[in-house]
Amino acid sequence: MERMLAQSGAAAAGNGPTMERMLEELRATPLYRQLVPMEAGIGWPIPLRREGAVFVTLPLFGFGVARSEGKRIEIHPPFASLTLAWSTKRPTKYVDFAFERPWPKPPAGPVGIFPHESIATLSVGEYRERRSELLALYDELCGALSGTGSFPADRSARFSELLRLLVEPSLRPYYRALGPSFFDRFLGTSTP
Amino acid sequence: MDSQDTTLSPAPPDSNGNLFDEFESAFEHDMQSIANAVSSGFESVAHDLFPTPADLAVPHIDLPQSDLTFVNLPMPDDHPIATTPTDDTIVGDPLDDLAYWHLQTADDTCAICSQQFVIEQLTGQPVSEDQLVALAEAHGWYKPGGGTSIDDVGNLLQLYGLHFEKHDNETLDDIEAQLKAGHGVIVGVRDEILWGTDANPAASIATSPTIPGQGADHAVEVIGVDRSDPNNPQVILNDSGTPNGRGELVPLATFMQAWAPSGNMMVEAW
Repeated sequence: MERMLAQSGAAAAGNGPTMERMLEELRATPLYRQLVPMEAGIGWPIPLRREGAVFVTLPLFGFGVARSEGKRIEIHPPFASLTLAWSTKRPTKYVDFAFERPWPKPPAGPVGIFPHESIATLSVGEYRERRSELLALYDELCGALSGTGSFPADRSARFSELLRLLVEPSLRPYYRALGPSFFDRFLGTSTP
Repeated sequence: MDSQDTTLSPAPPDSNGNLFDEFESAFEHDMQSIANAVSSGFESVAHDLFPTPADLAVPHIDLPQSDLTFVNLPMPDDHPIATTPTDDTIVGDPLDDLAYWHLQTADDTCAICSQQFVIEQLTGQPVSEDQLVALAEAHGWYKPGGGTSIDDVGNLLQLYGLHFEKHDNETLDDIEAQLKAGHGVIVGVRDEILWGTDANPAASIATSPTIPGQGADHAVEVIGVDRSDPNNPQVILNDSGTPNGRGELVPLATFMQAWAPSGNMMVEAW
């Protein structure tokens, strides 16, 4: 695992942004502080390429805290998305789904829980490791889309494996609506 | 990877029919406005198309006349603070402020509850979480299923006649100065650090009270700093997000670590 992380880090090294750092720093940006609830979660990034440039769309979703022992964390559908230019991290688009709906209005309330079944046996540390590994693979993928790196088949397979493991099943339909090509490519089309 | 091989095609153009309908409707409205201007003069259409700041002001909302009484549970007698001598080693008035805590009832109302505690402390007026949620939503300061943006934390205080300021890069000295002045203090924190999830990687993810890796996603009220044990100074919180949040005692070092990801954001109210 450590070797894999080191490889990922090396691939992402240089002047380019890293996804994990970008997600951490995003909360401090003026646009985020103005528009995005501090309690909200930042979902799994959806890369896309437009006219040769790479962008990353981040779904923003609500989630609670486990307010009593034994209670699971409730997850709400995404309420907005924020798209950033990968090379500069500058916001290029914010969409409030109350204004422009990518899907029919969902019923109020949570749609799922965290952790979902396939990760429920992990420890916190193991979850963090896998999350970091996936975000490092995003760096490689975005580098490849930018034409500055490669994303060989074994890395792509690992990316799919981790994405399938970590993406919350309750949010998958929403993610697919926001990035159908990306999720079809890496999650396949057979699962919701 | 050859970029030609990728199946990550650009997203399709926006195809939201409703958006087009709304645009068309707005266009027709503007055309009608211009037509009206021919007969009623330019001023009226200019007003329609370019409203004055007064037109754009948030509409006045009457604050509900609360018939609530304080229903919060009394402080447990065995709470550690109750047995701590209230001398110079305690900054703030945590013994009194404990009474205003309650567990948040929704997933995303920590910022609203933190403001509620401060409002009740400083005004003596009981308000409910539901009342504040309704007010915040009406003003656009709260998104159900999302929460409250950092820039909107504090706005509810002003509705109840309180003054507030919000600053980044604050220090523990700044917090203590506010507490000594009898002011309310709200800060943003990374809850996984505050609640110890971060420090216990071997724990099952199923027992984590929050989603790891999400950053500073929680607001709490600071009600005191306890320096009665010089070797173990602690920050005292009213934290609506956890059942143990009434007068939650957090080691100073942990608090500072949890506070930092918010940019040391602090709302001070009086």
